[in-house]
Amino acid sequence: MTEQVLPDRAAGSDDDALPDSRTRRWPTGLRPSRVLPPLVVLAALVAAWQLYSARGGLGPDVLPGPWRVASAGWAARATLWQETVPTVQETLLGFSVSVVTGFVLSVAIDRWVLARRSLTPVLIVSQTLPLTAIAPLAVILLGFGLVPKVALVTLVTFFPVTIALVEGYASADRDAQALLASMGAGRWRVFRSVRLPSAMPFFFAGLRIAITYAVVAAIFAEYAGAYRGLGIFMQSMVSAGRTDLELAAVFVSAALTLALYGLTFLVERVTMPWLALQRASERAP
Amino acid sequence: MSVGGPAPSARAIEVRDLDVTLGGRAVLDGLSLHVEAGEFVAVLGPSGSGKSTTFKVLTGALQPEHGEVVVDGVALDGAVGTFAYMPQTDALLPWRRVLDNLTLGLEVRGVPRREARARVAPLLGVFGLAGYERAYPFQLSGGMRQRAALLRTVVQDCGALLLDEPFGALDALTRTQIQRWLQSIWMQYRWSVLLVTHDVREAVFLADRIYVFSPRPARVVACVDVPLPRPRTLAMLTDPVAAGLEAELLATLLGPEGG
Repeated sequence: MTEQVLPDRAAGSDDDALPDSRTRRWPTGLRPSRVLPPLVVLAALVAAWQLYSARGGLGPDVLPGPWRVASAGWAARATLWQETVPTVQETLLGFSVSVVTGFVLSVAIDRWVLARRSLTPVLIVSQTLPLTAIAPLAVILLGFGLVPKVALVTLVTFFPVTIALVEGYASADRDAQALLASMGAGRWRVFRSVRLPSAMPFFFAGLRIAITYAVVAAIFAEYAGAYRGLGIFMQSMVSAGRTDLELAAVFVSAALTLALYGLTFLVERVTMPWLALQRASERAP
Repeated sequence: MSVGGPAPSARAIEVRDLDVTLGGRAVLDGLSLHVEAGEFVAVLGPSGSGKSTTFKVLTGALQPEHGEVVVDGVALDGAVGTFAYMPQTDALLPWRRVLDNLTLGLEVRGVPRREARARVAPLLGVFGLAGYERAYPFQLSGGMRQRAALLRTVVQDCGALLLDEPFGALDALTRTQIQRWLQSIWMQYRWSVLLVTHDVREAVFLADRIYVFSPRPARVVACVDVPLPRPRTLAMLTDPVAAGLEAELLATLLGPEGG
């Protein structure tokens, strides 16, 4: 028999099943082999940029060097933080609404053929609307507050979530569903016990696509009209000729997207410990 | 190990004159078979001959146009959950730990989790799964997964086990091991079993009686008793009685040679 070595029950922790100490010391996403290459590329780009601006470049008012952007950003860190907080709120709130909306839509589409036929074209059309046209309209309709931002973030992000869930449900194992049915499980029970858990890896893939749009959508919504936020801050910095602070805000928004992207992995790992273990064991020789 | 009486929960099944049409094509055509309480019955048939369709009728997933299923003299009438079904793949849910997979059937049937676990516990050793309760299915070998799937089926304590080509995906060695093991625990518990298989030798080794289905639309073309004593051994399969039976069954399945 070639049964695998298994976690000790007394130890209990999921990590005990990981096959080698290397994977145990470094979480998958933070292993040096994963982290170093992108850091090197990033450092090279920043260095080239610094070199270019140090030799004249486009002039410090058009394209300031990275050092100047960083020092200006650091000096204005209190302001930047103040402007970041509302953007984060809009993004997270919009994202939550998006997940709930996506879930409800996906369940309806999965459950009723009529819903699939009638909703799918409408959802696709909703993704063709140009943001440049919708954002000002949202401000006129919903004001300068939080609501139009949340609406815009939701509009931009619910689609990948919905589609991922619908595809995920369809991927559920037929035998497992037949098995549940043979035990006397009703439709809802089969959904809850087989279809929904099967969709979770798809859901997180969709979530990661959505999250890369989310921060941009919030900033765009602010651009169209807001009291506070990174979007309106960027706009006013460009008007004031402070491209260094505008670029500093751009970096903050990029960092925000990266952080949220990373967060999806963390949530995925917590909600689906088995998947992380399975992937780790598949990678192991 | 002695052959005791049938399990207390074991039921006698009688399938009478089933007709099933799917998409305009007749799949079952007046199909009848029966399983006594505590009897091990195998069904052999060519691919796509309606063996799985028969199981769908028994699990209540499909209503026949004609005919009925009678359990201990009472018509089933499309009721769901009377039998414990084991599908072709092990269908273990990858996000549930082994123990939670094993209790699934009981949970769906409304047994509280604590009681479900208590019912699974004494069987873990018998099924060679003790110590693996907290493992995830991907951490088990193919043979262990199949034993887990069988435990999940058995613990539901239903009238009969419906096994749909349960060992088809295993390698030959593991398959032989698990067949021997299945015989030994069946002799211990004596459930009513209906086993669908492609494998003539598997049917001869395990079953008390074997039905052979025709190609679509399925009818029973042969029903033979397996006169081998239990516990059966691999060596018995090569003796003239078993070898002759195997040849006869193969001939029935494949049709006359050269034809």
